[in-house]
Amino acid sequence: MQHGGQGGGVRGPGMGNCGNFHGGFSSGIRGRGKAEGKEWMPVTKLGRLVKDMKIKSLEEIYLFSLPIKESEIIDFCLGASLKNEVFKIMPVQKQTCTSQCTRFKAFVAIRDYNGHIGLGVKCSKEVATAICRAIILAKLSIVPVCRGYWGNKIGKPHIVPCKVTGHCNSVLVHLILMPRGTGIVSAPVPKKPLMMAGIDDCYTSARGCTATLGNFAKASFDAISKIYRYLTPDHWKETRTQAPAVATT
Amino acid sequence: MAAVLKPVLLGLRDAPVHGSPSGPGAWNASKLGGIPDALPTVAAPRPVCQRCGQPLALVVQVYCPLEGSAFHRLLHVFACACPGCSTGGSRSWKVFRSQCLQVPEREAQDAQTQENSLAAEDWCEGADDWGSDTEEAPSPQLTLDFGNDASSAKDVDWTARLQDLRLQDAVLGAAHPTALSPGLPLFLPYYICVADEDEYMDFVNLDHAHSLLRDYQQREGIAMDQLLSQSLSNDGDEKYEKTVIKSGNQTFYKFMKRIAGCQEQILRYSWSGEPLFLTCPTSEVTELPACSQCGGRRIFEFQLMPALVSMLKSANLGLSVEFGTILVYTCEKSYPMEEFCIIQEDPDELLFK
Repeated sequence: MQHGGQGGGVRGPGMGNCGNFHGGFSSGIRGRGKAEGKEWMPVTKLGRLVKDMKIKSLEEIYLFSLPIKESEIIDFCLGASLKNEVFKIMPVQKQTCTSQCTRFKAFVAIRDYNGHIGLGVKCSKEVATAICRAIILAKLSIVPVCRGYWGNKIGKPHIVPCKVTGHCNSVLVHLILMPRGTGIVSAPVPKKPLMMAGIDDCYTSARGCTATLGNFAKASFDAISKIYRYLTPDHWKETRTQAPAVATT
Repeated sequence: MAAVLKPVLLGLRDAPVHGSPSGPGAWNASKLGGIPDALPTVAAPRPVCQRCGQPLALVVQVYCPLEGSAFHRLLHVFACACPGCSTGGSRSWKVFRSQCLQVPEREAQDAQTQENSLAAEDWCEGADDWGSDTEEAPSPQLTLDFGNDASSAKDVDWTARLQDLRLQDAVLGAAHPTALSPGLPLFLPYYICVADEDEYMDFVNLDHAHSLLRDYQQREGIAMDQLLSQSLSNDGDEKYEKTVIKSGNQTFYKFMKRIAGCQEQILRYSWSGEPLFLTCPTSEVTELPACSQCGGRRIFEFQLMPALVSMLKSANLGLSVEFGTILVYTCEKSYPMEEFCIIQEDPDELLFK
């Protein structure tokens, strides 16, 4: 036991000696890292605060409009309730002088069942890599979704609280509120994000080149993310909040 | 794309330093935190902060002799750990380099390490067969001597120290064996071990992606090869899209992608290589000040990574250092002196002021 303990420590200074840091260093010394479970090492200050549990929920981050730059922050806050879904995978081609270069474009939507959704789009030579990177992008673009009522405030909120419009390039998507029981009346493409956001009843109206799946999906996401920008009467009440610097030190 | 990428070595945190090792074993080691070890002929640097005048704490000590050079080379990075200065920019950081000749040490040690040097020669025999320069053959042998010698010397030291360890644990700061000036800020010391970046490059876990792909195929009822043929039928309305990150910038995203293979790296070493920028580099990088002693060019040597920030803990609370990444540039000709470092701040820093 003692020997083992010393062995671990001797490796320390011994390492710097075997050749120099720059050139002659053999890579066999430290083979670990692949078998172990990877612990998240935060890179940004926000990441460090989240890891130390000084910021406990995503809502605190949204309150101050802090940009989320690490996808692990989302993992940490929302964790197990996140669910990914591949929307669509399509090959896209680029013409080079010799041949055509085909890459795969993956659309991944991510949601938790509590009012957060995200959409990630990524192109890559291999499908699995595209999906993997699109998941990370989806996590970085997670937005909260606010739902409201059409008429009486009975039961759970089920629709967008007001009419919203989202656009992406030429595509315009209007979301119009409807009474309970209408269901989602829309093309298949925006239907998915609306269902994932927990919106049960909605009319949609779209304009522009909706054949372009990417733009159509992004426009509907844009519409959903605009909901919180609208100041509805239930937000009129004044609240006092502390600046994040004060709150976390 | 055209330039050949220089190999990058990653530094990772290893075992904690026990007691206070001295002798060649101490200054031959790369470590983070602790007290700076000095080369035999050089005094240990004890700098003070330019902003507040407090003594600086050692962040990292890197032992990095150059290839083909007969000098031991030690680089110390110091930072001010006061709360007011932790985001102070380059004025709270100092980098020192010291070096001394290797040769005289070797003669003294040779007599003691007969068996060890035999083992060392066996190890290096293969190296000779590969047609390496005769210059290089002595240096690995030389430094191995130190390694083995240090370990044998250490064996004796540690059996004694291990007994003390339990008693000292509770009074870590106070009962320190070597005489420390009481006001010196100190981070808990750990050794740094080295690995090649290539080992970690391709490690991306694609299992989840594959399972999602299978679900998609089941749902849509198409197989992989059909996906490809689809492209020939539709006339590409969809085009290749460049990723646009909503929050943060492209440079940061590339930085994250590059370190994703090994997130716990705390140091990237690449002598005269390219640094990995955290945020878009400002003009500071293109207009590096020349070496003040010889007027020579300064080149990139290594950079400290953000993972180090969470690893720098101190025995008494209140010491912390914050940064995005620190790029250390050293003089090409390698004279012993103070070096230049560029600090790229954490991109979230401005939000929390």
